[in-house]
Amino acid sequence: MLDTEGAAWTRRAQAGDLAAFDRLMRLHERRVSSTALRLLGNAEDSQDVAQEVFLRLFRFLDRVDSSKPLVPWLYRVTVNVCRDLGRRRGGRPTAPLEELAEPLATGAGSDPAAQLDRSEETRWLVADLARLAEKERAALVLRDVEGLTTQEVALALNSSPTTVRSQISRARLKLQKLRALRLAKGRPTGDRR
Amino acid sequence: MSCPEYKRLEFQELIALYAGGDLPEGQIFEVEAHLRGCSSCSQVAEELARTRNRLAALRSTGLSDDRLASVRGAVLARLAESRSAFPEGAVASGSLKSLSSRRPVFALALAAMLALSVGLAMWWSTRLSNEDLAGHAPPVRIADGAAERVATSPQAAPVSSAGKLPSQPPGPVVAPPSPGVVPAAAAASEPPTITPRPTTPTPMPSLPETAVAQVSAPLPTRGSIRSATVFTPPTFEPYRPTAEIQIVETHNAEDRVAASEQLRIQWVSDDSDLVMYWLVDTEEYTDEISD
Repeated sequence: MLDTEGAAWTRRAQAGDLAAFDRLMRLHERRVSSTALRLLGNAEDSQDVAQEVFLRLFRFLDRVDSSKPLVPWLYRVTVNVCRDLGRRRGGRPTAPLEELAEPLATGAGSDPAAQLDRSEETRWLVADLARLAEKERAALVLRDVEGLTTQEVALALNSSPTTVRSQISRARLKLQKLRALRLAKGRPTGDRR
Repeated sequence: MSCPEYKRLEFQELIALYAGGDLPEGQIFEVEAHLRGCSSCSQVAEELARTRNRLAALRSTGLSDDRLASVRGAVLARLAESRSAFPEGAVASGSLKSLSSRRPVFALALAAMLALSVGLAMWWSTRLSNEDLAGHAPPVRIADGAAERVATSPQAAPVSSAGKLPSQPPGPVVAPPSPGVVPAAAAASEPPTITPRPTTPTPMPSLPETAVAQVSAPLPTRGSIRSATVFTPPTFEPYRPTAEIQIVETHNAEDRVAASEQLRIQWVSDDSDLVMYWLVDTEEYTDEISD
């Protein structure tokens, strides 16, 4: 997470240069927005979150140490803002996995696995992500979507690598189980959506 | 799944970690030894790895340049808007320079009193239900002897405080609650008026942690406090700076200077019957007012 370019823009933004702050946003906007989008599953909310994260960054700019990477802080704030928004929106479904796995849109007699084209897979994967427990989802998104190391995920989530590893493995297994259940449900029943 | 080993949750988790490259070397050998002789577990590991690849591909999907630009534009607009809150005449372009000298304590104390009153209000408001925050918040009463003003704001909520606000930071302050009453600033000739923030769209109107209020009050000898902005804590985090308060103060016309102070508040208790906080840090900034 070396951030030398970011450090230069940070220093200029700290001196009151709004153009430099704009560059700083451009440098980090994709990771902030992507993380928010995957954590919330909603593009509109993720835009609000990204906006809030950058406003917070501006407010805390004078306390940012430009010699240290900004990225872990950004991830942490993004996760926190998403968590707060998620809680205000009433949380996530709590039904068992068997009930959460909706059947696939497949025709009778077809092979469900073969029916899963790429976009369909992506759509279900996003839906399944939203069904994970909050902390498991955050750990998995940072590790597998954003590509952070376990150590970096732990830093961003203010947790330990051991806990993060456990959350990641459970999240991967749940996604796997959701997919398997959906394939099983979709096989004989046809389109039930 | 026919493999007896896979029935153990610990082993399932090992395979899930293996598939993502998260296992230390010693355990990799252990898992690979099993996978070589177990086709069903190999199949699971492969499927897990495929899912992981699909997750990685999500990073580049669903994010258009337009959306990103829209966020950037909204942030810059908000920042420009907050800069325009400075007094008549534009603010010099290279704004927000740290002051080297400290200003008199009384101004800080007054600022702290005003800001903390609102800070408490905002903190309290985060504890309310969504319905309250949606626009049914009770009015804030500002007690100052005979003078009592009432202002209603979606962000403003009853505050618990007995008026023992810190005048000499840093130090702990304990304020037992007395719902609905906010002490007015003793040093001001008029009690401060809490007014709702103008109805400009906020970036996250539904989030309590961005609740913002403005305080204005005349400051007889040094111009006036233009506004105090309180960013309430998203959640209670003990022993961490969790609130940011920015006070913008206008000096008199001769000074031709607008100054602002930032106060950092650290909540020490989340007990609803005990409001306790530290004033941990203050920072002052100044901007020259151009002609």
